[in-house]
Amino acid sequence: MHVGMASIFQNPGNAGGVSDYAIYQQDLALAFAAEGLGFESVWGVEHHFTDYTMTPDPVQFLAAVGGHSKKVKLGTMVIVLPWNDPMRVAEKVSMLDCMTDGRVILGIGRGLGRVEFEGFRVDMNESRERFVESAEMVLNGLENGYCEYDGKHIKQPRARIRPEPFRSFKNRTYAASVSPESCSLMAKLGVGILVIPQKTWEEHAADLDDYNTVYRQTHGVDAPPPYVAGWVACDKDPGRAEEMARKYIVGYWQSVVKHYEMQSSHFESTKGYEYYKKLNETIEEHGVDGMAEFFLDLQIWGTPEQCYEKIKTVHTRMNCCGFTGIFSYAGMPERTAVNNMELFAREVMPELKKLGERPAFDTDNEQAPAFLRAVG
Amino acid sequence: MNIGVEQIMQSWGYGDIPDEQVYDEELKIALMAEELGYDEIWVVEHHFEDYSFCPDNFVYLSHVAALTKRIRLATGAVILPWNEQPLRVAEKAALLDHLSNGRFVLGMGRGLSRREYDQFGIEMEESRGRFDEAAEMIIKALETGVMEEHHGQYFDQPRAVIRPKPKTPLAGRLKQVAMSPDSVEEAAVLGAQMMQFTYKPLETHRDEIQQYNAAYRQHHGSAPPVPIMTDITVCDSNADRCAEHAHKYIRDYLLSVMHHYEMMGEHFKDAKGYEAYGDTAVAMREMGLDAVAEGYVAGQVWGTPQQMLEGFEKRREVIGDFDALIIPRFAGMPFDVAERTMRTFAEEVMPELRSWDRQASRAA
Repeated sequence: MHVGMASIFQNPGNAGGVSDYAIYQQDLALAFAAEGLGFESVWGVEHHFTDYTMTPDPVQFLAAVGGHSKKVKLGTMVIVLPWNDPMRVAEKVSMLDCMTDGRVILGIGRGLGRVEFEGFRVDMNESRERFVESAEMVLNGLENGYCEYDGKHIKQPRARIRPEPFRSFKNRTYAASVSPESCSLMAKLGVGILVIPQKTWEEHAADLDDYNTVYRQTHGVDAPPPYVAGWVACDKDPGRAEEMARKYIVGYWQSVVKHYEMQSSHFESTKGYEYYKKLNETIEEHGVDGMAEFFLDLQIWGTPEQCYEKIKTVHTRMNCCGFTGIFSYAGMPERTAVNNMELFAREVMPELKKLGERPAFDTDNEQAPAFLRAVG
Repeated sequence: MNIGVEQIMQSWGYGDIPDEQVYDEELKIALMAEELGYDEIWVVEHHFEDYSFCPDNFVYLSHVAALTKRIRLATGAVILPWNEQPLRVAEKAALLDHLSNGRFVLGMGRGLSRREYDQFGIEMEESRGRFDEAAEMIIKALETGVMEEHHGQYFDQPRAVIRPKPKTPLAGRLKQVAMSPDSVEEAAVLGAQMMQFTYKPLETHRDEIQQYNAAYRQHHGSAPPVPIMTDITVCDSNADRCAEHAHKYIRDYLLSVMHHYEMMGEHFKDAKGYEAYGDTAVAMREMGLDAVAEGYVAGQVWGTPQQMLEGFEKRREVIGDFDALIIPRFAGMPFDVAERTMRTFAEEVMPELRSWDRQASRAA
């Protein structure tokens, strides 16, 4: 497996008067240390306006990580296409790739936070359509060297992407996908799946079966294996590890409920988000605290051995080619986050790297985009 | 005197080099700027063409921030009318501020190239209105940490909080490229230090600076900041080689400008907010390309260190004190020529320019 880490820059409630800058110092130090600790990729997410996750531009964050490192891959987890001008997405992704010797892994998604759709004045009902149009334009653009689109939402006169893509994004593009409908959509687009665990592994596996089937039907070849992310709380002492998990992973879950308004009824009436109504009902049934137990169970915590076993179980179920851990979140103190990440790197990561297959972006990353191959 | 480097990310004139080579060379120049004691790195926003490509200068500067410790990092400029989400500009500025430990400088501009406007699908006629509206939204957001609800002619924006929160006050870090009389006025109103590319007669620059100073005093009641003057330059202690390179590459650069901006085109005179360029275009058509190119090469400060100091001195006599930006790499110039400019300028021109400040403070 490939092993990465992600930075999410949470500052829940500015607890104890912690400044955003202090959070940045803490999480940047971890991201910059990742390569030295043996991580193979650093991932950034896109969120806006709240203390939930303060990275409005993951490409910009990764440009800084790229400057601090030589070989780690740089993954977006994810760029939320409906909130972006897709022309600019194609441009900045190509630019980051150009500055970092082709180290980018492109993750895309369609967004879930109502507060973010509202801040960008994008109608959440249109998110799936906008996602599809933008993804088609960006992915074709990176392959063709120019963008051009005449869609219902996206209109782009033909324009070249400069600096131009020099390496194909074909086997290094992923999409986050939670709802079953999205899975077949991603299969059609020909991108890999990023699994950010939020439902039972059985449900995730069922979605992947659909995805694999549609992918094979559409493209005539097997789909790439999925890539999994998870929240990690690792400590040599099992009691302390559990305490840490109950405090911070549950704290993260609470921030999810708050940011996405998981207890609000708006999903029911939002086109393309009907699936979340189910989640909504589950929360109603079990309560936020009851669901916290469920969420906790999906994540990776315990002694290094326990963490390894949990990821191995996920690997067996999902046949995933990589794992990205999140080590600093929910107001975790710096010392705790550093210990968490270092212990994982020292004792869990080496074993994970021996597990199963590696993703295509690690083994086959020299292919030029279509427009350059055409030129010869 | 603040002394900086402006990077223009050009492959025009370089034949068939890969775009990565442009970035390799410019990144080397950025590192050299840090090492040699320049105060600032500026980088343009341009899209789509060989003329220049840096589609997101915040991304470039975030990368440079990680490679440097000291030097200030300026968008030179972020072209507001091409950024249809002013909110994102404010967010990226705040993020760069955090990624660079407060070394960020916000330079804004409104764009001049019809080619780029067309490829974005944005009306060039709207540039003035879009710039003014977006600039105000962004500045306020960076000053308060909140982009307030706004319903204007071009932008509708619900209230949105900027996270991470802007860290360093914007005062003293706000710049604007101003090459036309109405941009000069706007820069003064916004309280932005004015940046100009030198391509007009010195007396014209002086008049615009005076216009800026008067407007600045009127709106802010305090002394205006000095202008930033930007030169396409070659610096070399070998006078003959220097002149040869200057005449070749500065002239070729001008040709790329003429092409990219369609400087002699008829479209400016009817484009709202660009009427001044229409007059320039008429004048240029009358002069002819050769004479324009000759005038342009003569108007830049370049040469041996001694010649450059004399050029700057002459400029100071006409326009008064200024900050300096140099553009060291352009129009097919081999990297070693650009590198020589960077080093020679830093070693032999910069110390003398810095001593002007000390003389001025003694005189005061």
